[in-house]
Amino acid sequence: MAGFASGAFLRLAEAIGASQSAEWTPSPAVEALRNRDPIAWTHLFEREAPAIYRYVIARVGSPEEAEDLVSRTFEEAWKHAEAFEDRGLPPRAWLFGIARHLTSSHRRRLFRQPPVLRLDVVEQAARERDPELLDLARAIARLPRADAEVVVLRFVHGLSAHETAAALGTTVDAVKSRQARALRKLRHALEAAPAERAGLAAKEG
Amino acid sequence: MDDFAQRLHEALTTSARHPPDPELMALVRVARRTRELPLPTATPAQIARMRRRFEERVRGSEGGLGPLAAWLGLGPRPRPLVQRVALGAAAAAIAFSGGSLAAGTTPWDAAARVGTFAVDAVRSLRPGNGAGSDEAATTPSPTVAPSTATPTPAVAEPTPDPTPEDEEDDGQRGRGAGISGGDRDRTPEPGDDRRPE
Repeated sequence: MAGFASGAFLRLAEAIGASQSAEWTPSPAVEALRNRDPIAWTHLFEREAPAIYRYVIARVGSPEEAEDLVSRTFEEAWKHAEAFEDRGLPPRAWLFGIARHLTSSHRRRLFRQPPVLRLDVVEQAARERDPELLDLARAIARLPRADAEVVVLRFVHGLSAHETAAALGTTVDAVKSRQARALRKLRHALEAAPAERAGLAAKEG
Repeated sequence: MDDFAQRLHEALTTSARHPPDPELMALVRVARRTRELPLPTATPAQIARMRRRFEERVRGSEGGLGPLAAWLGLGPRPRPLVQRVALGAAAAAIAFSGGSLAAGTTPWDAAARVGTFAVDAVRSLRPGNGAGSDEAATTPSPTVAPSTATPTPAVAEPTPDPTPEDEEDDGQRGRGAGISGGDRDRTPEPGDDRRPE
């Protein structure tokens, strides 16, 4: 798995680099990361670790495992720092891509990967805040994986279409198509949710 | 990608709060609701733990690099090329000393001999050969004995010591004195060939 992951991270770094203009000059910040400057890496960790943690815990559920995966994400990024190229995208897309790879292979059972969004992670807080949010979480969990990943990265974690494409290793057009398809499905699911809730309540009553 | 997907993307990325198309408006609203999903956030203690773990892992992988990888210029702080070339040359000299193998010695023996030779050479170049010290003069040893036993001691140290006697002693006292210096001014006498006890 290590060899595969290593190659995958390199391809990911290249994909992020190749997603924009052909000619580039690395910015000082990216150069500092590539040279493994401790201060630059400290800033990167402090800036991005909370977002990576939210992404990972939404998929694995366990805080301990999420912590481990976040530190491993930064470790992998650090190991492959020289492969990272600055093409106008922040390192966040790169980190999300690494976190996605690590989380997908974490506790993988045959062809089953961890879900894109675990309902138990958001269930209680969503119920307390707004029942519609719980409906939304359920609808996202029911989406096809490729669509759900786009929704989660684009809208839950706030990545741009370019960053999402880089993190997923796909094209920006594919991201735009998936987000349109996924949002339509979510809209229909949310419209149907109150009736479903009412039906469930009637059955239980 | 269809036109609708592109228009939706533009509606999502621009700050226009009310896109003209009602379906676009509805989808933008769904996207904005999605941002409100209450995901757990890491506490400062968790951030500190993750950071500490990351630093430990990085330190561990730094130390885990083998010498070969380090020599190849891998690792977080690659060594300068000059150092790597010098190390490579030294390693190659040891590893490829096939002649020494043919002669029945291992490359490590050969390397050890080179080291011994270097040490001997340095000792030989030292004035007084390290034997002119007070300790060597007063303490007889088998290595010193042959020079005293030689019947032609003046030949052993023919160069007179240019240092004046009253010059400040800089720790090389006995240079030119002691065994060789003392023998230089003496006429050999019978019984001089006795080894000191």
